[in-house]
Amino acid sequence: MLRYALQRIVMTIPVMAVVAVFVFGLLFVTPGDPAVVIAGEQASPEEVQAIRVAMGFDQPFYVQFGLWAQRLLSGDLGTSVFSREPVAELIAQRVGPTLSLLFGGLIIALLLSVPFGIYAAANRGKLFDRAFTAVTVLNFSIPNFIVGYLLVSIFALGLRWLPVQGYVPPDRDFGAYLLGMILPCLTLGMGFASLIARVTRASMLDVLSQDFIRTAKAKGADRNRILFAHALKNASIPIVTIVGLGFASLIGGAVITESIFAIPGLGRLTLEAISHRDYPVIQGLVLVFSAGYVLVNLAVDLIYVLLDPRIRY
Amino acid sequence: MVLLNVEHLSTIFQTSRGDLRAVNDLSFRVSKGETVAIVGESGSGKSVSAMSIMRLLDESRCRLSGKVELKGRDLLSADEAAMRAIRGNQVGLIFQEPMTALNPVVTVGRQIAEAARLHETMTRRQAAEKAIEMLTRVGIPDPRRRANEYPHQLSGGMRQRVMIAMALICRPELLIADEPTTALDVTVQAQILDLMRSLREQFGSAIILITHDLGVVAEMADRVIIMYAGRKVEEGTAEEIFAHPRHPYTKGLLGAVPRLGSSLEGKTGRLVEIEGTVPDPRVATVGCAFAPRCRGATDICRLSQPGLVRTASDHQVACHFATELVVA
Amino acid sequence: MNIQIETDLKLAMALQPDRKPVSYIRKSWALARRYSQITFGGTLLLILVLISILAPVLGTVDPRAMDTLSRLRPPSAAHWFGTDMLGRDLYSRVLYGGRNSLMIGFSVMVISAVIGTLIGLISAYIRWLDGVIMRIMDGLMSVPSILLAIALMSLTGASLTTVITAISIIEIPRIARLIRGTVLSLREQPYVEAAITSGSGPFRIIFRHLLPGTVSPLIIQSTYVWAVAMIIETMLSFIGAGTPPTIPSWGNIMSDGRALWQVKPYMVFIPGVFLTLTVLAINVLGDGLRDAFDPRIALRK
Repeated sequence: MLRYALQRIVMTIPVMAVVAVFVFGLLFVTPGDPAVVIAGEQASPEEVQAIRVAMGFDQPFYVQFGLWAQRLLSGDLGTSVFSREPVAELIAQRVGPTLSLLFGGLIIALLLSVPFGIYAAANRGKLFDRAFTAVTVLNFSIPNFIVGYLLVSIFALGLRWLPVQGYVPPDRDFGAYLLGMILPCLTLGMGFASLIARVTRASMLDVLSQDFIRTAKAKGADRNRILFAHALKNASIPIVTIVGLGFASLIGGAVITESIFAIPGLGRLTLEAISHRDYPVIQGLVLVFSAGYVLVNLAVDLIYVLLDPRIRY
Repeated sequence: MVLLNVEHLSTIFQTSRGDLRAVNDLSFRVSKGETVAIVGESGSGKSVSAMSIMRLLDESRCRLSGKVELKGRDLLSADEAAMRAIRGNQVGLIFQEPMTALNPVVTVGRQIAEAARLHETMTRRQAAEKAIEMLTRVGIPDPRRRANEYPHQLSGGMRQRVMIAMALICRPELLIADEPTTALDVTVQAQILDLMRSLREQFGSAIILITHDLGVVAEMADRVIIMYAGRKVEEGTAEEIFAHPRHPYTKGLLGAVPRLGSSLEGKTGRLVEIEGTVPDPRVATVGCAFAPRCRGATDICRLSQPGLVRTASDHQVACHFATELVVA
Repeated sequence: MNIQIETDLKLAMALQPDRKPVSYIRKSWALARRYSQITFGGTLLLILVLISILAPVLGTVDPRAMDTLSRLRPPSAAHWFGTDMLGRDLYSRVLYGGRNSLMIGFSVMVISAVIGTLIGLISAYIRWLDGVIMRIMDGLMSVPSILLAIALMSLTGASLTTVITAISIIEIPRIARLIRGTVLSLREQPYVEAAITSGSGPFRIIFRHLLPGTVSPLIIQSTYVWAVAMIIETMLSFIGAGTPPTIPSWGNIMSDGRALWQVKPYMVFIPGVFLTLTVLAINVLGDGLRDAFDPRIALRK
């Protein structure tokens, strides 16, 4: 079991290496002078030349990559073209709100999806199930910023229960922080919730059609027991998988959600970097987000061990 | 003493392409302590009848009619709570595929203990001890360790023993075994049958043994019911049926069993097959369902459904020519 | 229902005699009801596609024509969906935008299906390349889609081709994985082994035995790719990293309307509704196709 865990951890390394190579390699595959991209279009020819030497662009590719990787591993993600600050610092400053948003969104998504998915599977074909299918497909299809705008229209502008925009750090005012995070997390989580709900239903249905459920019934178990003690335990494995894989969409959604709700997180940083054509920042963000995604999936792999004894023994 | 009384049981599935009569007017009795085998090929309705008796089918998709009485109590009109109290308690069930019939993420011991705790109030510890005791009874070595293992860590034979332990832990008076040995290796089959025989003596339970394997029938059964296309076509004691089969289908089944040394007797040693295939259960047949495949079929057979005729004190046959002596 | 009963039922279903002749219309209606998802999704999609193809016919004015005198007007008889801040007629823009959005999504679907299948086949067939290719695919899939697209777009600048290329690159790994997985599992099938032992060459095996088995999962996955591609394009355009603003797309129109959404919500919501309907249609169609091809679910019907 420990071996499995170590194995999984070690396997993340080549994946991250590929991402790093890819991100770095993009500079060379795409048109344009890499040094200019890194230095920025406003830079003077001397600055560009300085970058060229510092990054080693006149050297063979593997040397350049080596230099870059070395810098990376020591925490240097480059310098922003726009603000001249180290990218690593920019990211560290903004990471907090994004984490709140992501995990808040995840929790809301799980709370809204799993119970309904189970109930739909248990009442297959009946009214709730049909409504469930229609609602989830619809929710899944609405772009998340539209959902965001709708929620803001109703709850912030209309009912005035919640703030329209803005972010309050938790250490300043925890209550305001929570209130301010409700709508953004809902916006982010709703689309994900439909996906999880559908997978929950499908997974439960699949498990419920298996033989051991019939055995449980034949023993005299009642419906709740069958659903929770028998079915859910087995169904949770694919559900957890999908939650891990779908986390990527959560990250993507965060970029847009932060824009709508003016949350000063990494998503906003991304948007700024886009408008300033600040490639070093974008590069850094891609690496950080990918690392986060890989970590989440690693966590999922480790959770499997708890859920599925077939892996342990 | 009659334990189970089934009268005119019919199970009709409502499918998008018409009604499907899986079980058609089935009647039989099981007495205390006796072993009744229900024999037939795939599609004969033998498993469906067992599922119907225990109300384990999805009743939004099928209609049950007739009467099923367990010790005088009608099961078909009982509500779900009443059925739950009976399942696993007064009637135990064993299924065919031990590989998939156990929950893969729960330990074997807990699954057995669950069967006990569902019907008797006891603490987890007491139930766990009972489970270990049952594991010993079904012949699993080192039961205390095994109880904490998961199904995938056990072999097929051991898993089936676990199923038997689960089914018998509440000392049911009736055990329904649906093809218990079909998915097992031949050597393991023999062991499981031995186990079932010894447990039958210890617990005194009646058994309904559903199988297509006549060898199993010969070893275990007191009485035999032969089913074809959802109907009972012959019933009698095991000796009677094996010695004097009367229905052409039964004769065909017995003729199709490979016999050691048959080539020495001067016969060609070829297996006699029954030509044709099982009929489509959605098409209501006129006449005997077996007629298309029967060598001796006549017009009467094709026009009129044969009823059950009693040819001996404990021998019924559904064939127009049941009472005629046929020289083999 | 347990295995036994399903076997019984399967036997029953397999032997279906021909019943009395039913009229064509009734048969079609019954089929439509049975495959209601495909019917609904397919019809809706067809309508939307037709509308966008007929944009020049249905559109009232040139989508780029600016009428500075009627800026930011709400929907009216003259401008059915209103106008944007440059005075452009939104109705026409939405129609043409739909055309572009649908076309982008469709192109991505086709490109990623073709290239993804190729890569998947190569990976499944040539063992020593498999490891390398799959590592690369895994790496690509480890980057959240939007970010990958943003990175690509920021380096290459915005144009229709770059948008389509960028989004295709994101979707290819998924298809490659799917095809590779399908081919690998098909290869284990007895009939393929039989073909190999009987001396069929690799091309014959690929085209006659393996590819047909990949068609249904590929079709199903591709429909979802169409939807996802459209959503990604919209999101990219919304944040300014997608289709260049000179080319109308639903995402662009919504991006234009961002700042003013509280006062002029129609600029964001109308294209939003169109996009939702399109994605909904594709998703329902995809679900219907998946259910139709899945033998287990077909049996339950």
